[in-house]
Amino acid sequence: MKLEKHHKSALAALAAAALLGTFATIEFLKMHQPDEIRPSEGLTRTGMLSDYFDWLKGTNGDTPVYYYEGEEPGATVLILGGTHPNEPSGAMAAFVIAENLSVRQGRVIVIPQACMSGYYHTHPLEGQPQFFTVEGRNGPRRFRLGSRAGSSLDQWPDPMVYLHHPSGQRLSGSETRNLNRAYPGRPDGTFTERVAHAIVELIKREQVTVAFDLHEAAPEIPIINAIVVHEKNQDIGAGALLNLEMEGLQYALEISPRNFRGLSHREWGDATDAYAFLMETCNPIQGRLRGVTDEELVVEGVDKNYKTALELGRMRITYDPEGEPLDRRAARHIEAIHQVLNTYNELHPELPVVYEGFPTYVDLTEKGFKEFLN
Amino acid sequence: MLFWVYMLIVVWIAVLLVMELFGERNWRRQVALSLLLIPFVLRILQLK
Repeated sequence: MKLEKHHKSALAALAAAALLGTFATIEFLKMHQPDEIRPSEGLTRTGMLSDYFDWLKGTNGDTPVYYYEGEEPGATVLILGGTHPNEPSGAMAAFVIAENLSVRQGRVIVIPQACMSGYYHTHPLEGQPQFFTVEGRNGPRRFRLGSRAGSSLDQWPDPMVYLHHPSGQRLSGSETRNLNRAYPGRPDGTFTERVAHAIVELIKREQVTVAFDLHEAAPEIPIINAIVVHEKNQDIGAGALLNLEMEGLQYALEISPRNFRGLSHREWGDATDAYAFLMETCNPIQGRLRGVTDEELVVEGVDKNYKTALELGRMRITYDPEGEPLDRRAARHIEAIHQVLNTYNELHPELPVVYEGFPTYVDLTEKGFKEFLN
Repeated sequence: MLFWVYMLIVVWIAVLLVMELFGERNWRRQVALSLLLIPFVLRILQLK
């Protein structure tokens, strides 16, 4: 068969499109590569969240779980980052801990990216970058930034009103994919409720003693720089707060409201024996006043609009005009975990957790991630 | 079931585009049609 001229040009156009499509596909598929974690030598084993709930296996809800086990029995600590993937200081604190930790007595379990589904998209209309880069010991490390909620590809459609199980509390439909409104979850519920169920199962099966959920909030939200505690562990929270004040770090202690359901600090404490803590730092990329939202704002946290608001006396909280850098926010989480565990050990000497390798607040703020990410 | 209905629609449009591409005599339109074809092929291959 003899090809006419326009058939040849059609084939050439197809070949060019195939070439372009191949390059585009290679770049696109890179977005599916998971964030790399380089755990410390103190890591004793690695698992997956689906080990606690089979249904999650192979889904975007599954996420790595890192175990650091001491030789002597003691308390079990759970550290959860990335419940909200647009709040990067929690995940970064968990990464820093996982890459430096060594446990002598008890166990520490780290889940750096609790809501993995939320890492596969960004929040519509927020204009936030998909990735950010920080310097590690061995060069630049790229991490994902995601959305507050899990992906619509995993759970769709959103209802007009989200009914929390089992309380029946009504929230906006958009909260249906929010992991921190889904606890305690249920095995036959929505995708998000199943992820929540798996985390609660982990807490129960591993007999977690102290559990942390690391968060951030917009600079104008009064809850930033707060530690939210379940009422059964408010004594530990109060002790930690005093220790943090001694370190020069100001925090507010908030008791988990009994009628605000679905949140980790309420449901973990109610459904399990764990002492539940939730911590917040100041995240300019979530703020309504922010300007350009790029990698620099994620990492350096400098926004001229917030500086202006501060100068005009419009800020209800202390915003550092020099910015709220990511390493300092992660350092606050890490120091707060330190102080909660110190206080826990003082109050429960019969079942302590003894560890080393965590950087202090001063170490991390002075040296940055460069010294503490492998 | 919904998936296969969706896939049928995507394949059908891709076939129409290819037929149009080989029937078209203006090379500029051929380039436009081939670019338009890319997302449909990627959807068929489940890449995007």
